[in-house]
Amino acid sequence: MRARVKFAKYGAMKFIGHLELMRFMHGAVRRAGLPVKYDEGMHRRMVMSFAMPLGVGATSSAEYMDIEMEEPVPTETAMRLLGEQMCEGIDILDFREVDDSKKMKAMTIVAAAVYDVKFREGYEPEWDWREDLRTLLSLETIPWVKETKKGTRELDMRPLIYSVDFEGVKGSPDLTDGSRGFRACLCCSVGENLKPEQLIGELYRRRGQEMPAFALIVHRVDLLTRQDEKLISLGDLGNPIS
Amino acid sequence: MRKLALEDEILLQVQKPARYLGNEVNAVYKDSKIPIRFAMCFPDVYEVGMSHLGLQILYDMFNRREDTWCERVYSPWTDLDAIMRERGIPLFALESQDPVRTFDFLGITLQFELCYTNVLQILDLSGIPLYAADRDDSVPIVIGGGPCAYNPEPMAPFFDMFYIGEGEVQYDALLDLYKEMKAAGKGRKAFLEAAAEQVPGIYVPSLYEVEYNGDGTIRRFAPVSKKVPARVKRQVVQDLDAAPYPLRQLVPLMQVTQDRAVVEIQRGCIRGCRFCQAGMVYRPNRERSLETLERYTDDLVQNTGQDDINLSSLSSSDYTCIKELVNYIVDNYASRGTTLQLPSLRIDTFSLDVMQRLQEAKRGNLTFAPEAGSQRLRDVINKGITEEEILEGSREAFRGGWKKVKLYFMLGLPTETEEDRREIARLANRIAVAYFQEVPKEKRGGRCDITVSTSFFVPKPFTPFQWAPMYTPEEYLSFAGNVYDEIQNVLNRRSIWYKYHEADGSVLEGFLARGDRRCAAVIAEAYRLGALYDAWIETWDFSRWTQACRNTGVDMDFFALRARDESEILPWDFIDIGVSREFMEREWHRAQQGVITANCREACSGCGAAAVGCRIWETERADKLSVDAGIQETGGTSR
Repeated sequence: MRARVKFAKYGAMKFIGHLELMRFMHGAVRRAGLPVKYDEGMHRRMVMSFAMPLGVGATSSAEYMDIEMEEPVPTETAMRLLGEQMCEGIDILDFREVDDSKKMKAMTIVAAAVYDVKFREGYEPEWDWREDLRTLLSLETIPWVKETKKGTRELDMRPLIYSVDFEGVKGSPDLTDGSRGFRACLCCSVGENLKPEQLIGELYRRRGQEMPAFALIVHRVDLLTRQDEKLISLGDLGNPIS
Repeated sequence: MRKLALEDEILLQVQKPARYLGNEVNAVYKDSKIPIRFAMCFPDVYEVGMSHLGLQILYDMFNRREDTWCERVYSPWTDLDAIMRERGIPLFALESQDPVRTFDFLGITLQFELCYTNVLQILDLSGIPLYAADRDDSVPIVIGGGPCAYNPEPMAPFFDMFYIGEGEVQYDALLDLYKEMKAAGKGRKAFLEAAAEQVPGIYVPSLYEVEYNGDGTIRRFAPVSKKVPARVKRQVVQDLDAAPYPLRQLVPLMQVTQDRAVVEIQRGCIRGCRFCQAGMVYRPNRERSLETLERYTDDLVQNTGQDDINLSSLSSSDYTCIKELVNYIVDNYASRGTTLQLPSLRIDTFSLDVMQRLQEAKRGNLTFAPEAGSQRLRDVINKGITEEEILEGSREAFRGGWKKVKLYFMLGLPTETEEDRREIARLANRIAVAYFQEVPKEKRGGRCDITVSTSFFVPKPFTPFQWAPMYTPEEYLSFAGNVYDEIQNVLNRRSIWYKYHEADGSVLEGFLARGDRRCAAVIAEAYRLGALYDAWIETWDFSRWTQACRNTGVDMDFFALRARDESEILPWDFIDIGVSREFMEREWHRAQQGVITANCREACSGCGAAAVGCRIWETERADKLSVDAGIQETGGTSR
């Protein structure tokens, strides 16, 4: 069976990169003694995958990892066992059984991410970034040269932006009144991925400037998947194990 | 939530921010209002320091005390170093993120000589005066330990005290004394004196004075007061099974150099390789019982979640129950992907079988350390490995499908001739020949791959070679040239790769290893000139050291290259490691005659370690006791 673990990442752990986080979770699962599956390779590895890597420096209230289990463990028990093995900065939020077919892995079905984005103190641009962002969103196409490891690709950024909310976000300590930042829902999938840094970087580029390093503070609110043409939280799939 | 000492913007711009976070699995947190706060430092970068077992032993042991919080400190890499200096950020301990300057103790382990400038960096960034003489009661007591503390003299002026020997033995007494004196309002000076007088193994450099002869050698080394012991005794754990051992080892959040759970199977080594400091200063050989090690393995796997176990010792094959232990781990943990590391394992049927079962069968390197090319020179250094053993091990490995062999040698050994050096190439050639003879053509898939790697021998204190000369960097390079030339002459030269190290780093290592107090000025000057991370290629610059010698008027060659006379008082003679100077002298003479000395289990050679609890011949081997040439000379440690 496949279990999906939902967890938050914050504090000191936001400086831990994706590979380091994977190592940490492998060790945690071993220490927790959960009955997980190992692959059949010469060096037997736990079958574990993550929905989408989170950049170093960003925090998140909803990361997801899938673990293949030999047998189910009740949600409450598994959360306690895993929770005991966490360091400050990682909280286990849920553990549930999900569809274990190959095409339903979290990393396969993830479609979008919701981010709370704000400027770090002292890094707000002198120009009205809200106005610039609104203008950008009103365009039908946003030609964009994406830099990847393999080189550059020409893309349209506009269809990758699902929504941007300037009006303040209830329950978000920094964005309650919308004065310092915004909430955005952006495409985030195996095929295409738009990061908040790339969205805001585009505003700078259009002004002939370069975005300073560390200008943004990014918090990932959730990861979403597409179901019946609607985006729903990855955490809503599957069922708790009793 | 714990507050970090560094702002986000700093952590995001330095390489590998995980070095500075703490927060690892099994890190210990306590209330900062605790009687004793101890900052334990490994003066190198996090990945290196976190790989060290000794610090984990002390970390665990100190934190078992209710009155002590031990935290860790590592050297900031050069990127953070620059930022901290520019912004005046004080060096902090990882757990509390509090400045080191506010601690009661700063303990620094000296694992290798080329970290000495990093020690000054630690003091400097902490805001602690570099010289002990300049410190007042507001800064921590700076205490040193580790293998280089067996000649503490080049670093003596920078330390308030050194702990000589194994930390398990006297640290509780030292911390108890500190707490008592702190509560009684006694200051730094009183504590240093009391520790030197009352706690065995504690060396307080400021309580000793040195006089020199006209030729620069030592005339007299003595304590300033009668109450302070003239000889400082190395502290030795008597029963390893009863000694504290860390079963909740720290699991780093980032990849470190040795990323595994460590099971220390034994301490000390029965082989008396004459160049090896560890083999001498960790005598006697003491084993943990199989039962203890099985339990440690279970607990460590449970507590760390590590999937790689390192069975640590100076010579794994010599551990009496090695097969039983390896089988236990394979039977219980291989199914969940656990792998096993066995350093210093003799290559034989058993070890090849273990490697096949556990190490992904990916056929990596097989490593031999003959250390010298000719049998004559191997006898001089007492390296108990014969050419036939190397060739047979290689043949067996080739039959098992291995193709890569790594060979380690030293150049510049006592009595070494050009012929000995050329023999290195010929030995490599004979291994290649063994490959072509052993593996039928259709199974070969190309040549074998033999890497010859040479380092330059550095004589170390408390070894039979402590009197030996060193050579100039130019001479060393010509030695390497001999090996290189001969490789070009042998038949299978295309199967052989040759690697050698830079020579000037070895000369510096020799200078620092056998120096005395007068070398401290050079270290401080080199640091002032920018020397840091001298063991790292990225930052290594010998010219800073030659400049520092010129600026201070200290002759590096006097300390690094000079052969010592046996009548000379050596800077480290005041330390009693439990192995006698007579034994060292005897071994030095036997070396020059090319006479080997049996290992401790074959015959006792009367090294003196009986005085610090050697029981190799008392227990199961008592019936086999045979008197060796030297045994009547035991007991040289009690003078």
